[in-house]
Amino acid sequence: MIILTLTRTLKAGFQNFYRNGSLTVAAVSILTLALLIISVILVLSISADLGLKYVQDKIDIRVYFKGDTEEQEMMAFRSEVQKYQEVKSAEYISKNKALDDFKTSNAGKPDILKAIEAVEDNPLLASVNIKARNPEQYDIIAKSIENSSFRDDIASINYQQYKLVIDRFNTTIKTIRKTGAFLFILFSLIAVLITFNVIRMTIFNHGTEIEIMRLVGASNNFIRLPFVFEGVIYGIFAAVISIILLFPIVKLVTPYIIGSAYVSVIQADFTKYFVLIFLAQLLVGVLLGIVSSILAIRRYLKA
Amino acid sequence: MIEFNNVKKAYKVGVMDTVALDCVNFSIDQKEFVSFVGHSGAGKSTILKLIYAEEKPTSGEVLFNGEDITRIKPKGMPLHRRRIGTVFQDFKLLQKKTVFENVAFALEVSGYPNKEIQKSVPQILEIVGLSNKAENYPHEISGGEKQRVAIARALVHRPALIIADEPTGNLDPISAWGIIQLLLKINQLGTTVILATHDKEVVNNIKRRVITLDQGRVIRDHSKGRYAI
Repeated sequence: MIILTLTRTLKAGFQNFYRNGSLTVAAVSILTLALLIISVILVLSISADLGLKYVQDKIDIRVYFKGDTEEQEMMAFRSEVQKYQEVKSAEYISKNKALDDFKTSNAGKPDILKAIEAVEDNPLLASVNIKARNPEQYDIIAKSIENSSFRDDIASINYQQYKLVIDRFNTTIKTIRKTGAFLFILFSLIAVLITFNVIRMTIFNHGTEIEIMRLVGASNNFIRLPFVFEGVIYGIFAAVISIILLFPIVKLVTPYIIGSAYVSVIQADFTKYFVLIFLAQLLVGVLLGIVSSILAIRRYLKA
Repeated sequence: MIEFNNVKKAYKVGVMDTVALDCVNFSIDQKEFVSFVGHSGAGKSTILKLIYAEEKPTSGEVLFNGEDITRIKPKGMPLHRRRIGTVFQDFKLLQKKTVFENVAFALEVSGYPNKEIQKSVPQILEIVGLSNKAENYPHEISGGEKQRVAIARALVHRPALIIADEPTGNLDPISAWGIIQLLLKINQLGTTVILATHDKEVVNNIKRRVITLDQGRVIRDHSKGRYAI
Protein backbone atom coordinates (compact mmCIF):
# COMPACT_ATOMS: atom_id res chain seq x y z
CA MET A 1 0.00 0.00 0.00
CA ILE A 2 2.82 2.42 0.88
CA ILE A 3 4.67 1.65 -2.35
CA LEU A 4 1.43 1.97 -4.32
CA THR A 5 0.72 5.35 -2.71
CA LEU A 6 4.29 6.53 -3.39
CA THR A 7 4.29 5.50 -7.05
CA ARG A 8 0.83 6.99 -7.64
CA THR A 9 1.60 10.29 -5.92
CA LEU A 10 4.99 10.52 -7.66
CA LYS A 11 3.25 10.05 -11.00
CA ALA A 12 0.66 12.68 -10.03
CA GLY A 13 3.50 15.06 -9.05
CA PHE A 14 5.07 14.69 -12.50
CA GLN A 15 1.66 15.15 -14.15
CA ASN A 16 1.06 18.35 -12.16
CA PHE A 17 4.51 19.53 -13.19
CA TYR A 18 4.07 19.16 -16.94
CA ARG A 19 0.35 19.82 -17.19
CA ASN A 20 0.45 23.11 -15.30
CA GLY A 21 2.44 24.97 -17.97
CA SER A 22 2.65 28.61 -16.99
CA LEU A 23 2.45 27.99 -13.24
CA THR A 24 5.33 25.53 -13.46
CA VAL A 25 7.38 28.05 -15.44
CA ALA A 26 6.62 30.76 -12.85
CA ALA A 27 7.51 28.56 -9.88
CA VAL A 28 10.73 27.23 -11.44
CA SER A 29 11.80 30.74 -12.51
CA ILE A 30 11.27 32.19 -9.06
CA LEU A 31 13.02 29.30 -7.38
CA THR A 32 15.92 29.62 -9.85
CA LEU A 33 16.13 33.33 -9.11
CA ALA A 34 16.11 32.65 -5.38
CA LEU A 35 18.91 30.08 -5.71
CA LEU A 36 20.90 32.42 -7.97
CA ILE A 37 20.63 35.34 -5.57
CA ILE A 38 21.70 33.20 -2.65
CA SER A 39 24.53 31.55 -4.60
CA VAL A 40 25.88 34.76 -6.15
CA ILE A 41 26.06 36.47 -2.78
CA LEU A 42 27.61 33.39 -1.22
CA VAL A 43 30.11 33.04 -4.05
CA LEU A 44 31.02 36.71 -3.90
CA SER A 45 31.55 36.71 -0.17
CA ILE A 46 33.67 33.56 -0.46
CA SER A 47 35.59 35.23 -3.30
CA ALA A 48 36.14 38.33 -1.23
CA ASP A 49 37.27 36.14 1.64
CA LEU A 50 39.68 34.20 -0.59
CA GLY A 51 40.98 37.48 -1.97
CA LEU A 52 41.49 38.79 1.52
CA LYS A 53 43.31 35.64 2.58
CA TYR A 54 45.56 35.97 -0.45
CA VAL A 55 46.41 39.55 0.49
CA GLN A 56 46.70 38.61 4.14
CA ASP A 57 49.35 36.05 3.25
CA LYS A 58 51.46 38.78 1.67
CA ILE A 59 51.50 40.84 4.86
CA ASP A 60 54.29 40.32 7.35
CA ILE A 61 56.57 42.32 9.59
CA ARG A 62 60.28 42.19 9.10
CA VAL A 63 62.74 42.58 11.91
CA TYR A 64 66.16 43.68 10.52
CA PHE A 65 69.25 43.00 12.61
CA LYS A 66 72.32 45.13 12.90
CA GLY A 67 75.17 44.01 10.64
CA ASP A 68 77.33 42.67 13.46
CA THR A 69 74.67 40.44 15.07
CA GLU A 70 75.64 36.76 15.34
CA GLU A 71 73.48 34.29 13.44
CA GLN A 72 73.09 32.34 16.68
CA GLU A 73 71.53 35.39 18.28
CA MET A 74 69.07 35.79 15.44
CA MET A 75 68.08 32.12 15.57
CA ALA A 76 67.46 32.52 19.31
CA PHE A 77 65.24 35.51 18.53
CA ARG A 78 63.39 33.45 15.94
CA SER A 79 62.64 30.59 18.33
CA GLU A 80 61.60 33.09 21.00
CA VAL A 81 59.16 34.78 18.64
CA GLN A 82 57.75 31.46 17.49
CA LYS A 83 56.63 30.87 21.05
CA TYR A 84 54.27 33.86 20.87
CA GLN A 85 50.67 32.72 20.59
CA GLU A 86 49.91 35.32 17.95
CA VAL A 87 52.72 34.23 15.61
CA LYS A 88 51.90 31.85 12.80
CA SER A 89 55.41 31.58 11.35
CA ALA A 90 58.82 33.19 11.63
CA GLU A 91 61.35 32.77 8.84
CA TYR A 92 65.02 33.62 9.09
CA ILE A 93 66.47 35.34 6.02
CA SER A 94 70.26 35.49 6.11
CA LYS A 95 72.25 38.31 4.47
CA ASN A 96 73.13 36.02 1.55
CA LYS A 97 69.56 34.82 1.10
CA ALA A 98 68.41 38.46 1.17
CA LEU A 99 70.90 39.28 -1.59
CA ASP A 100 69.80 36.30 -3.70
CA ASP A 101 66.14 37.26 -3.28
CA PHE A 102 66.96 40.82 -4.24
CA LYS A 103 68.75 39.68 -7.37
CA THR A 104 65.91 37.37 -8.37
CA SER A 105 63.25 40.00 -7.93
CA ASN A 106 65.28 42.54 -9.91
CA ALA A 107 66.43 40.12 -12.60
CA GLY A 108 64.96 42.29 -15.34
CA LYS A 109 66.72 45.46 -14.21
CA PRO A 110 70.46 45.30 -15.20
CA ASP A 111 71.20 48.81 -13.80
CA ILE A 112 70.21 47.81 -10.30
CA LEU A 113 72.07 44.49 -10.53
CA LYS A 114 75.21 46.30 -11.70
CA ALA A 115 74.91 48.79 -8.85
CA ILE A 116 74.63 46.08 -6.20
CA GLU A 117 77.56 44.16 -7.66
CA ALA A 118 79.65 47.36 -7.57
CA VAL A 119 79.36 47.39 -3.78
CA GLU A 120 81.92 44.98 -2.36
CA ASP A 121 80.19 44.08 0.86
CA ASN A 122 76.65 42.70 0.90
CA PRO A 123 74.72 45.83 1.88
CA LEU A 124 71.57 43.97 2.87
CA LEU A 125 70.69 43.11 6.46
CA ALA A 126 69.65 39.73 7.81
CA SER A 127 66.05 39.62 8.96
CA VAL A 128 63.34 37.52 10.51
CA ASN A 129 60.00 37.68 8.65
CA ILE A 130 57.06 37.21 10.97
CA LYS A 131 53.50 36.34 9.99
CA ALA A 132 50.66 36.69 12.46
CA ARG A 133 47.73 34.32 12.80
CA ASN A 134 45.42 37.29 12.62
CA PRO A 135 46.33 40.58 10.92
CA GLU A 136 45.01 42.50 13.92
CA GLN A 137 47.81 41.09 16.07
CA TYR A 138 50.77 42.72 14.29
CA ASP A 139 50.55 45.63 16.67
CA ILE A 140 50.95 43.40 19.75
CA ILE A 141 53.76 41.40 18.15
CA ALA A 142 55.67 44.55 17.19
CA LYS A 143 55.33 45.92 20.71
CA SER A 144 56.51 42.67 22.34
CA ILE A 145 59.57 42.62 20.11
CA GLU A 146 60.38 46.24 20.91
CA ASN A 147 60.30 45.39 24.60
CA SER A 148 62.23 42.12 24.33
CA SER A 149 65.86 41.54 25.37
CA PHE A 150 66.85 41.46 21.69
CA ARG A 151 66.02 45.10 21.09
CA ASP A 152 69.70 46.18 21.11
CA ASP A 153 70.51 43.91 18.16
CA ILE A 154 67.59 45.13 16.11
CA ALA A 155 68.29 47.70 13.44
CA SER A 156 64.65 48.33 12.52
CA ILE A 157 61.18 46.84 12.50
CA ASN A 158 59.37 47.71 9.32
CA TYR A 159 56.02 47.61 11.07
CA GLN A 160 55.49 51.31 11.70
CA GLN A 161 55.70 52.22 8.02
CA TYR A 162 53.06 49.54 7.20
CA LYS A 163 50.89 50.24 10.21
CA LEU A 164 48.46 52.43 8.29
CA VAL A 165 48.08 49.89 5.49
CA ILE A 166 47.56 47.01 7.89
CA ASP A 167 45.02 48.97 9.93
CA ARG A 168 43.07 49.91 6.85
CA PHE A 169 43.19 46.33 5.66
CA ASN A 170 41.78 45.14 8.98
CA THR A 171 38.87 47.55 8.80
CA THR A 172 38.14 46.49 5.22
CA ILE A 173 38.06 42.81 6.16
CA LYS A 174 35.59 43.46 8.96
CA THR A 175 33.32 45.58 6.77
CA ILE A 176 33.31 43.09 3.92
CA ARG A 177 32.53 40.17 6.24
CA LYS A 178 29.73 42.02 8.01
CA THR A 179 28.17 43.34 4.81
CA GLY A 180 28.47 39.92 3.17
CA ALA A 181 26.74 38.17 6.05
CA PHE A 182 24.04 40.83 6.24
CA LEU A 183 23.33 40.71 2.49
CA PHE A 184 23.36 36.93 2.53
CA ILE A 185 20.79 36.70 5.32
CA LEU A 186 18.62 39.49 3.90
CA PHE A 187 18.49 38.14 0.35
CA SER A 188 18.08 34.54 1.48
CA LEU A 189 15.10 35.61 3.54
CA ILE A 190 13.56 37.53 0.64
CA ALA A 191 14.20 34.63 -1.73
CA VAL A 192 12.62 32.12 0.66
CA LEU A 193 9.55 34.32 1.17
CA ILE A 194 9.03 34.86 -2.55
CA THR A 195 9.42 31.16 -3.30
CA PHE A 196 7.02 30.24 -0.54
CA ASN A 197 4.41 32.67 -1.88
CA VAL A 198 4.70 31.48 -5.47
CA ILE A 199 4.30 27.85 -4.43
CA ARG A 200 1.39 28.86 -2.21
CA MET A 201 -0.17 30.52 -5.24
CA THR A 202 0.20 27.40 -7.37
CA ILE A 203 -1.37 25.31 -4.61
CA PHE A 204 -4.16 27.88 -4.15
CA ASN A 205 -4.89 27.32 -7.80
CA HIS A 206 -5.44 23.66 -6.96
CA GLY A 207 -7.91 24.46 -4.15
CA THR A 208 -10.91 22.87 -5.91
CA GLU A 209 -8.84 19.82 -6.80
CA ILE A 210 -7.82 19.34 -3.20
CA GLU A 211 -11.47 19.64 -2.14
CA ILE A 212 -12.43 16.98 -4.69
CA MET A 213 -9.63 14.70 -3.54
CA ARG A 214 -10.89 14.94 0.03
CA LEU A 215 -14.45 14.22 -1.10
CA VAL A 216 -13.54 11.01 -2.85
CA GLY A 217 -11.75 9.87 0.29
CA ALA A 218 -8.09 10.65 -0.43
CA SER A 219 -5.96 10.51 2.71
CA ASN A 220 -3.95 13.60 3.67
CA ASN A 221 -0.76 11.95 2.45
CA PHE A 222 -2.32 11.10 -0.87
CA ILE A 223 -3.23 14.78 -1.32
CA ARG A 224 0.02 16.18 0.06
CA LEU A 225 2.61 13.97 -1.63
CA PRO A 226 2.01 15.00 -5.27
CA PHE A 227 2.60 18.63 -4.25
CA VAL A 228 5.69 17.66 -2.29
CA PHE A 229 7.06 15.75 -5.27
CA GLU A 230 6.19 18.67 -7.50
CA GLY A 231 8.21 20.85 -5.11
CA VAL A 232 11.13 18.42 -5.40
CA ILE A 233 10.99 18.60 -9.21
CA TYR A 234 10.87 22.42 -9.04
CA GLY A 235 13.97 22.30 -6.82
CA ILE A 236 15.90 19.99 -9.17
CA PHE A 237 15.07 22.05 -12.27
CA ALA A 238 15.88 25.32 -10.51
CA ALA A 239 19.24 23.96 -9.27
CA VAL A 240 20.24 22.77 -12.76
CA ILE A 241 19.26 26.07 -14.41
CA SER A 242 20.90 28.21 -11.74
CA ILE A 243 24.21 26.29 -11.82
CA ILE A 244 24.30 26.78 -15.59
CA LEU A 245 23.73 30.52 -15.11
CA LEU A 246 25.94 30.92 -12.04
CA PHE A 247 29.36 30.41 -13.61
CA PRO A 248 29.10 33.02 -16.37
CA ILE A 249 27.72 35.45 -13.78
CA VAL A 250 30.58 34.79 -11.37
CA LYS A 251 33.08 35.15 -14.21
CA LEU A 252 31.57 38.47 -15.24
CA VAL A 253 31.09 39.93 -11.79
CA THR A 254 34.15 38.90 -9.74
CA PRO A 255 36.67 41.25 -11.42
CA TYR A 256 34.57 44.28 -10.46
CA ILE A 257 34.18 43.19 -6.88
CA ILE A 258 37.64 42.12 -5.83
CA GLY A 259 40.01 43.61 -8.37
CA SER A 260 41.39 41.71 -11.33
CA ALA A 261 44.66 40.68 -9.66
CA TYR A 262 43.23 37.67 -7.83
CA VAL A 263 40.47 36.65 -10.23
CA SER A 264 42.39 33.77 -11.77
CA VAL A 265 43.23 32.37 -8.34
CA ILE A 266 39.60 32.56 -7.21
CA GLN A 267 38.07 31.24 -10.42
CA ALA A 268 40.41 28.28 -10.34
CA ASP A 269 39.16 27.57 -6.83
CA PHE A 270 35.55 27.71 -7.97
CA THR A 271 35.98 25.24 -10.75
CA LYS A 272 37.15 22.85 -8.03
CA TYR A 273 34.00 23.55 -6.02
CA PHE A 274 31.59 23.08 -8.95
CA VAL A 275 30.12 19.80 -7.69
CA LEU A 276 29.90 21.08 -4.14
CA ILE A 277 28.08 24.26 -5.18
CA PHE A 278 25.71 22.27 -7.38
CA LEU A 279 24.92 19.83 -4.58
CA ALA A 280 24.33 22.72 -2.17
CA GLN A 281 21.96 24.36 -4.66
CA LEU A 282 20.18 21.08 -5.21
CA LEU A 283 19.75 20.60 -1.49
CA VAL A 284 18.54 24.16 -0.88
CA GLY A 285 16.25 24.09 -3.94
CA VAL A 286 14.67 20.76 -3.06
CA LEU A 287 14.29 21.69 0.62
CA LEU A 288 12.72 25.04 -0.32
CA GLY A 289 10.33 23.25 -2.66
CA ILE A 290 9.35 20.63 -0.10
CA VAL A 291 8.99 22.96 2.89
CA SER A 292 7.02 25.56 0.91
CA SER A 293 4.68 22.87 -0.42
CA ILE A 294 4.09 21.31 2.99
CA LEU A 295 3.46 24.70 4.63
CA ALA A 296 1.23 25.93 1.81
CA ILE A 297 -0.93 22.82 1.68
CA ARG A 298 -1.42 22.57 5.43
CA ARG A 299 -4.44 24.85 5.49
CA TYR A 300 -6.27 22.74 2.91
CA LEU A 301 -5.93 19.57 4.93
CA LYS A 302 -8.28 20.34 7.78
CA ALA A 303 -10.18 17.33 8.96
CA MET B 1 -28.48 2.84 7.40
CA ILE B 2 -28.59 6.58 8.14
CA GLU B 3 -30.17 8.11 11.19
CA PHE B 4 -30.48 11.75 12.23
CA ASN B 5 -31.38 12.22 15.90
CA ASN B 6 -32.32 15.73 17.05
CA VAL B 7 -29.72 17.25 14.77
CA LYS B 8 -29.14 20.98 14.99
CA LYS B 9 -26.67 22.90 12.87
CA ALA B 10 -25.97 26.60 13.33
CA TYR B 11 -23.46 28.66 11.35
CA LYS B 12 -21.83 31.69 12.87
CA VAL B 13 -22.22 34.71 10.61
CA GLY B 14 -20.42 37.61 12.25
CA VAL B 15 -21.73 37.64 15.82
CA MET B 16 -25.12 36.16 14.81
CA ASP B 17 -25.92 32.45 14.72
CA THR B 18 -27.83 31.34 11.62
CA VAL B 19 -29.70 28.10 12.15
CA ALA B 20 -29.46 25.84 9.09
CA LEU B 21 -31.04 22.74 10.66
CA ASP B 22 -33.18 22.54 13.76
CA CYS B 23 -34.34 19.39 15.50
CA VAL B 24 -34.08 17.17 12.43
CA ASN B 25 -35.06 13.50 12.84
CA PHE B 26 -35.31 10.85 10.13
CA SER B 27 -33.84 7.52 9.16
CA ILE B 28 -33.04 6.02 5.77
CA ASP B 29 -32.90 2.29 5.14
CA GLN B 30 -30.58 0.43 2.84
CA LYS B 31 -31.53 0.42 -0.87
CA GLU B 32 -33.90 3.37 -0.43
CA PHE B 33 -34.12 6.24 -2.92
CA VAL B 34 -34.82 9.42 -0.95
CA SER B 35 -35.22 12.95 -2.30
CA PHE B 36 -34.75 16.02 -0.11
CA VAL B 37 -36.68 18.97 -1.45
CA GLY B 38 -37.08 22.55 -0.37
CA HIS B 39 -36.23 26.14 -1.27
CA SER B 40 -32.67 27.37 -1.42
CA GLY B 41 -31.43 27.65 2.15
CA ALA B 42 -33.94 25.12 3.49
CA GLY B 43 -31.08 22.90 4.69
CA LYS B 44 -30.82 20.23 1.95
CA SER B 45 -27.11 20.65 1.31
CA THR B 46 -26.37 20.87 5.03
CA ILE B 47 -27.95 17.44 5.58
CA LEU B 48 -25.79 15.97 2.82
CA LYS B 49 -22.66 17.65 4.18
CA LEU B 50 -23.36 16.14 7.60
CA ILE B 51 -23.60 12.70 6.02
CA TYR B 52 -20.26 12.89 4.20
CA ALA B 53 -18.82 14.66 7.25
CA GLU B 54 -17.85 17.90 5.56
CA GLU B 55 -19.65 19.61 8.46
CA LYS B 56 -20.27 18.63 12.07
CA PRO B 57 -23.65 19.12 13.77
CA THR B 58 -23.91 21.71 16.55
CA SER B 59 -25.86 19.15 18.57
CA GLY B 60 -27.53 15.76 18.06
CA GLU B 61 -26.10 12.67 16.39
CA VAL B 62 -25.73 11.41 12.84
CA LEU B 63 -25.44 7.62 12.57
CA PHE B 64 -24.08 5.73 9.57
CA ASN B 65 -24.60 1.98 9.91
CA GLY B 66 -24.96 2.53 13.64
CA GLU B 67 -21.70 4.49 13.96
CA ASP B 68 -21.79 8.14 15.09
CA ILE B 69 -20.14 10.10 12.28
CA THR B 70 -19.36 13.04 14.55
CA ARG B 71 -16.97 10.82 16.51
CA ILE B 72 -14.90 9.77 13.52
CA LYS B 73 -11.31 10.97 14.01
CA PRO B 74 -9.63 12.94 11.19
CA LYS B 75 -7.56 9.87 10.29
CA GLY B 76 -10.71 7.80 9.77
CA MET B 77 -12.38 10.42 7.59
CA PRO B 78 -11.00 9.22 4.23
CA LEU B 79 -12.26 5.71 5.04
CA HIS B 80 -15.73 7.08 5.82
CA ARG B 81 -15.81 9.03 2.56
CA ARG B 82 -14.86 5.94 0.56
CA ARG B 83 -18.12 4.34 1.71
CA ILE B 84 -20.01 7.14 -0.02
CA GLY B 85 -20.10 8.33 -3.64
CA THR B 86 -20.81 12.03 -4.13
CA VAL B 87 -22.25 13.85 -7.15
CA PHE B 88 -22.54 17.66 -7.30
CA GLN B 89 -24.24 20.34 -9.36
CA ASP B 90 -20.86 21.69 -10.49
CA PHE B 91 -19.55 18.16 -11.27
CA LYS B 92 -16.30 18.71 -9.32
CA LEU B 93 -14.10 16.96 -11.85
CA LEU B 94 -10.31 17.25 -11.83
CA GLN B 95 -9.72 19.52 -14.82
CA LYS B 96 -6.16 18.34 -15.46
CA LYS B 97 -7.15 14.70 -15.58
CA THR B 98 -8.84 12.82 -18.41
CA VAL B 99 -12.25 11.18 -18.01
CA PHE B 100 -10.55 7.84 -17.42
CA GLU B 101 -8.14 9.32 -14.86
CA ASN B 102 -10.96 11.11 -13.02
CA VAL B 103 -12.83 7.85 -12.54
CA ALA B 104 -9.66 5.90 -11.78
CA PHE B 105 -8.74 8.48 -9.11
CA ALA B 106 -11.48 7.27 -6.75
CA LEU B 107 -9.96 3.78 -6.94
CA GLU B 108 -6.35 4.99 -6.67
CA VAL B 109 -6.98 6.80 -3.39
CA SER B 110 -8.55 3.66 -1.97
CA GLY B 111 -5.45 1.67 -2.86
CA TYR B 112 -6.99 -0.61 -5.50
CA PRO B 113 -4.38 -2.48 -7.55
CA ASN B 114 -3.69 -1.19 -11.08
CA LYS B 115 -5.03 -4.40 -12.63
CA GLU B 116 -8.43 -3.88 -11.05
CA ILE B 117 -8.47 -0.20 -12.05
CA GLN B 118 -7.79 -1.15 -15.67
CA LYS B 119 -10.72 -3.56 -15.49
CA SER B 120 -13.29 -1.57 -13.50
CA VAL B 121 -13.00 1.87 -15.08
CA PRO B 122 -13.90 0.82 -18.65
CA GLN B 123 -16.81 -1.22 -17.25
CA ILE B 124 -18.25 1.73 -15.37
CA LEU B 125 -17.70 4.10 -18.33
CA GLU B 126 -19.65 1.60 -20.42
CA ILE B 127 -22.52 1.72 -17.91
CA VAL B 128 -22.73 5.53 -18.01
CA GLY B 129 -22.29 5.49 -21.80
CA LEU B 130 -18.95 7.28 -22.04
CA SER B 131 -16.60 4.58 -23.36
CA ASN B 132 -15.70 6.74 -26.34
CA LYS B 133 -14.76 9.78 -24.20
CA ALA B 134 -12.27 8.07 -21.88
CA GLU B 135 -9.27 10.05 -23.14
CA ASN B 136 -11.04 13.43 -23.25
CA TYR B 137 -10.49 16.16 -20.68
CA PRO B 138 -13.52 17.61 -18.81
CA HIS B 139 -13.46 20.84 -20.83
CA GLU B 140 -13.90 18.82 -24.01
CA ILE B 141 -17.24 17.22 -23.08
CA SER B 142 -20.81 18.48 -22.48
CA GLY B 143 -22.49 19.22 -19.13
CA GLY B 144 -24.54 16.02 -19.21
CA GLU B 145 -21.42 14.00 -20.00
CA LYS B 146 -19.50 15.67 -17.17
CA GLN B 147 -22.24 14.63 -14.76
CA ARG B 148 -22.04 11.07 -16.07
CA VAL B 149 -18.31 11.09 -15.39
CA ALA B 150 -19.05 12.31 -11.85
CA ILE B 151 -21.56 9.49 -11.38
CA ALA B 152 -19.08 6.96 -12.78
CA ARG B 153 -16.49 8.23 -10.27
CA ALA B 154 -19.01 8.08 -7.42
CA LEU B 155 -19.95 4.54 -8.40
CA VAL B 156 -16.72 2.89 -9.43
CA HIS B 157 -15.63 1.78 -5.96
CA ARG B 158 -19.11 0.31 -5.33
CA PRO B 159 -20.13 2.44 -2.34
CA ALA B 160 -23.18 1.55 -0.27
CA LEU B 161 -24.51 5.10 -0.62
CA ILE B 162 -24.62 7.69 -3.39
CA ILE B 163 -25.27 11.32 -2.47
CA ALA B 164 -26.34 13.65 -5.28
CA ASP B 165 -26.57 17.37 -4.51
CA GLU B 166 -28.61 19.11 -7.22
CA PRO B 167 -27.10 16.86 -9.90
CA THR B 168 -29.43 18.20 -12.59
CA GLY B 169 -29.14 21.89 -11.67
CA ASN B 170 -26.83 22.78 -14.56
CA LEU B 171 -28.35 20.51 -17.19
CA ASP B 172 -30.99 20.79 -19.90
CA PRO B 173 -34.20 18.76 -19.25
CA ILE B 174 -33.21 15.85 -21.49
CA SER B 175 -29.73 15.44 -19.98
CA ALA B 176 -31.26 15.91 -16.53
CA TRP B 177 -33.70 13.09 -17.08
CA GLY B 178 -30.89 10.88 -18.34
CA ILE B 179 -28.98 11.47 -15.11
CA ILE B 180 -32.06 10.68 -12.97
CA GLN B 181 -32.64 7.46 -14.96
CA LEU B 182 -29.06 6.51 -14.27
CA LEU B 183 -29.48 7.14 -10.52
CA LEU B 184 -32.68 5.03 -10.51
CA LYS B 185 -30.85 2.22 -12.27
CA ILE B 186 -28.03 2.38 -9.73
CA ASN B 187 -30.64 2.21 -6.96
CA GLN B 188 -32.26 -0.83 -8.55
CA LEU B 189 -28.90 -2.57 -8.46
CA GLY B 190 -28.87 -2.14 -4.66
CA THR B 191 -27.17 1.17 -3.86
CA THR B 192 -28.90 3.63 -1.53
CA VAL B 193 -29.38 7.00 -3.25
CA ILE B 194 -29.95 10.36 -1.54
CA LEU B 195 -30.90 13.19 -3.84
CA ALA B 196 -31.21 16.86 -2.97
CA THR B 197 -33.11 18.87 -5.54
CA HIS B 198 -35.61 21.61 -6.16
CA ASP B 199 -36.55 20.28 -9.57
CA LYS B 200 -40.30 19.71 -9.30
CA GLU B 201 -40.62 17.56 -12.43
CA VAL B 202 -37.84 15.23 -11.41
CA VAL B 203 -39.36 14.59 -8.00
CA ASN B 204 -42.88 14.08 -9.33
CA ASN B 205 -41.72 11.68 -12.03
CA ILE B 206 -39.66 9.33 -9.91
CA LYS B 207 -42.42 8.69 -7.33
CA ARG B 208 -40.13 7.72 -4.44
CA ARG B 209 -39.79 8.84 -0.84
CA VAL B 210 -39.66 12.63 -0.48
CA ILE B 211 -38.56 14.54 2.65
CA THR B 212 -39.55 18.20 2.48
CA LEU B 213 -37.55 20.80 4.37
CA ASP B 214 -38.44 24.36 5.25
CA GLN B 215 -36.21 26.73 7.21
CA GLY B 216 -34.13 23.92 8.59
CA ARG B 217 -37.00 21.68 9.72
CA VAL B 218 -38.55 18.54 8.26
CA ILE B 219 -42.13 19.50 7.41
CA ARG B 220 -43.19 16.41 5.44
CA ASP B 221 -41.94 12.86 4.88
CA HIS B 222 -43.94 10.79 2.37
CA SER B 223 -42.97 7.38 1.05
CA LYS B 224 -44.39 8.10 -2.42
CA GLY B 225 -44.12 11.81 -2.30
CA ARG B 226 -44.67 14.72 -4.61
CA TYR B 227 -43.04 18.09 -4.75
CA ALA B 228 -45.29 20.36 -2.73
CA ILE B 229 -44.14 23.44 -0.86
